[in-house]
Amino acid sequence: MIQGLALSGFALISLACGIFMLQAAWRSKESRAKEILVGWGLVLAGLVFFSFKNGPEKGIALGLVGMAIFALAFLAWQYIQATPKAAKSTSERIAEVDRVNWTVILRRSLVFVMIAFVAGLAALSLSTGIFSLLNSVGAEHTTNLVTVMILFPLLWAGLAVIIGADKLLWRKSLITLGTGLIPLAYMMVGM
Amino acid sequence: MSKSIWPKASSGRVASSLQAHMVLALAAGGLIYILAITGTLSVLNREFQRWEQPSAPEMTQISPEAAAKAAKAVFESETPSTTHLYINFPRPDLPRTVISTDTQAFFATETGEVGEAENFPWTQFLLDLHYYLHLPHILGLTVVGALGAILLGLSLSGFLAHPRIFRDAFTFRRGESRIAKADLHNRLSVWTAPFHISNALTGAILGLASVLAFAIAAVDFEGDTTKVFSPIFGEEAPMDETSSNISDIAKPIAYVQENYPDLTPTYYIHHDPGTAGQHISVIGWHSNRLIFGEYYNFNSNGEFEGVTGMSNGTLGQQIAGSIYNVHFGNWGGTWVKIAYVIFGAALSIITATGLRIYFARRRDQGRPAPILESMWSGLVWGTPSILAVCLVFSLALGWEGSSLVSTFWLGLCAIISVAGFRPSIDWSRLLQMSLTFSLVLIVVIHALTNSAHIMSAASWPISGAIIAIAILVGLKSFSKPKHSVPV
Repeated sequence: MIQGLALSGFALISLACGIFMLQAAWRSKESRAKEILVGWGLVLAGLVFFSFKNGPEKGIALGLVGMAIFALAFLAWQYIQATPKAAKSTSERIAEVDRVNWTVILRRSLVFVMIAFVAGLAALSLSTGIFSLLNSVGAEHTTNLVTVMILFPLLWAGLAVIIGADKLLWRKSLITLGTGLIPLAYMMVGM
Repeated sequence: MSKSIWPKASSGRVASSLQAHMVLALAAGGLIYILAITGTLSVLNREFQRWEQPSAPEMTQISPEAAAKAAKAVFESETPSTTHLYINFPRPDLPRTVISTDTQAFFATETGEVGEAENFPWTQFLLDLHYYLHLPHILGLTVVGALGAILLGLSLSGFLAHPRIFRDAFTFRRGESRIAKADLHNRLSVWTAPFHISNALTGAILGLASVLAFAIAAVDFEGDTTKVFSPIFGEEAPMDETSSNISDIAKPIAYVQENYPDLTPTYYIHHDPGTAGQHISVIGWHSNRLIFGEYYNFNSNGEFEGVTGMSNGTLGQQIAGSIYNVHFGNWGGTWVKIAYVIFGAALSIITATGLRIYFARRRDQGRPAPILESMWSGLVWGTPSILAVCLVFSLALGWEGSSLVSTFWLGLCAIISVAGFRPSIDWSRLLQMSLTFSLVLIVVIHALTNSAHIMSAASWPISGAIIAIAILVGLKSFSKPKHSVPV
């Protein structure tokens, strides 16, 4: 009981000191590599103390929650101390109401369809293809399944970013369709 | 001044990442905001369940015999018999015993008497909104999962678009200017990243699991989706519908309590009760793990057959068993729940300010979009307002199910449309006032309809929190500075 409380105490103190050092170092205009290293070291020590108290997975999760809460507390303190600045009057800045033509609307609709549907189908195809490939070489089922369960949304997210970032419609279409069609072809050959 | 240790970001990468960030936010920002608000509230779904029905019998634990007595009484009252019989055991955040079947649920008293029917219409409406957006279940889960994937994309593009992510990690200017809003958006995004990335990922995994299972089953298991998930969660025993007496309910519960004293039984599942093929699982909660629990399996004679492996099986099983708890924050007690509420509120603010930065930028560029901006204000404050109005109707008029669903969606669409037609009105302020009024009304109606339980542990924490939020929102609505952009 006392040992548990002590570990929690050490963990919280390490996290608070680590975040304090990081914010002091990052807010400084000079390079403070040592302070940054010590700050991260203390944050890591906090995670380790939490792991000793609560086991590796729950301990690290608690440490991350604690780290975020301390950082938000420092930000809140800074926010309270800062002097609010009013926004400039907006009326002078208004030049004209933006008008969009049908080409722009069509292009934006196409981008939406690509993000919401095509990227999802491509990610689904690639994830299923990866599962099928690993399954065929005898990978353990549950780990294989969880891997592609994690991979599927990450792939979708990655493709969505590419679609949003790339200005060339043909290039983002090629990347997205290629991602989906290549594994689809592999699976169709295998079936 | 010494040379910076930070690498310089490519301006092209920053510009294209910002472009992607903006496109994704415009494509899905509104629905992601609704999920952020409802997800934040859903963290407290057990507390809301207690609050909606404060008169239910409460206990810290129940004996196996009492739980079995109540469960058997509920089972025997049903014709035709249910195919599943469940017992929810009391836990710190929901200290109640609930006996449920495929069609109904009742509370049990500490002595095993069957009490009133379980009824928490607003919480159920809230959970259905967060899980499915009130769409048919598989479709709804998939749409919500897709929004989780897009939220992941927003996090990714946001980080790529930020050239000085650590250097600026504690830069936080205050006020109504665009730069102050950008600081709020960026600082909250960076420091709550472990939460919103893990939540977007786990939400997407939960939502997209069905679609992925269909695809994998079609390619590798001849369309049989049970073969996809049974290695993780265990295989259903073959059915034998020959009639039989319901097996001893207390025995498996007592077995877990006696043989695993460090575990807390949270759930009892009786498959095909009253048939020769009946079998039982008791879910035991492991206090130092993120998994929702381990299945302790018993045969029709109540004899222990082993565990499924969520706690000690393959890595895949253990990760899969942790996804739900990591998403909903019910793995670490009250303090973790409070932290999740703070992080959820932060994600809502990040989403709301993100689009506001976009509109402010357009204004600065001389391309204002006042109608869209007003509609966004309608969505941001209209969502909590209409959720509160639904709770008022549920408490005062007993509305539930489709009445609440239609009130929410029609109400929200009406608010957004009217905001678009009348952009000159300060919708944020108007809706903040409406929300304050609704929150006060909720507490008053709840107190009047549950006067005997106002100060009970089931009532006061949520009522107190609602009053606190009403005060904060009320103060915000009255303290708005003049000549500012909409907030």
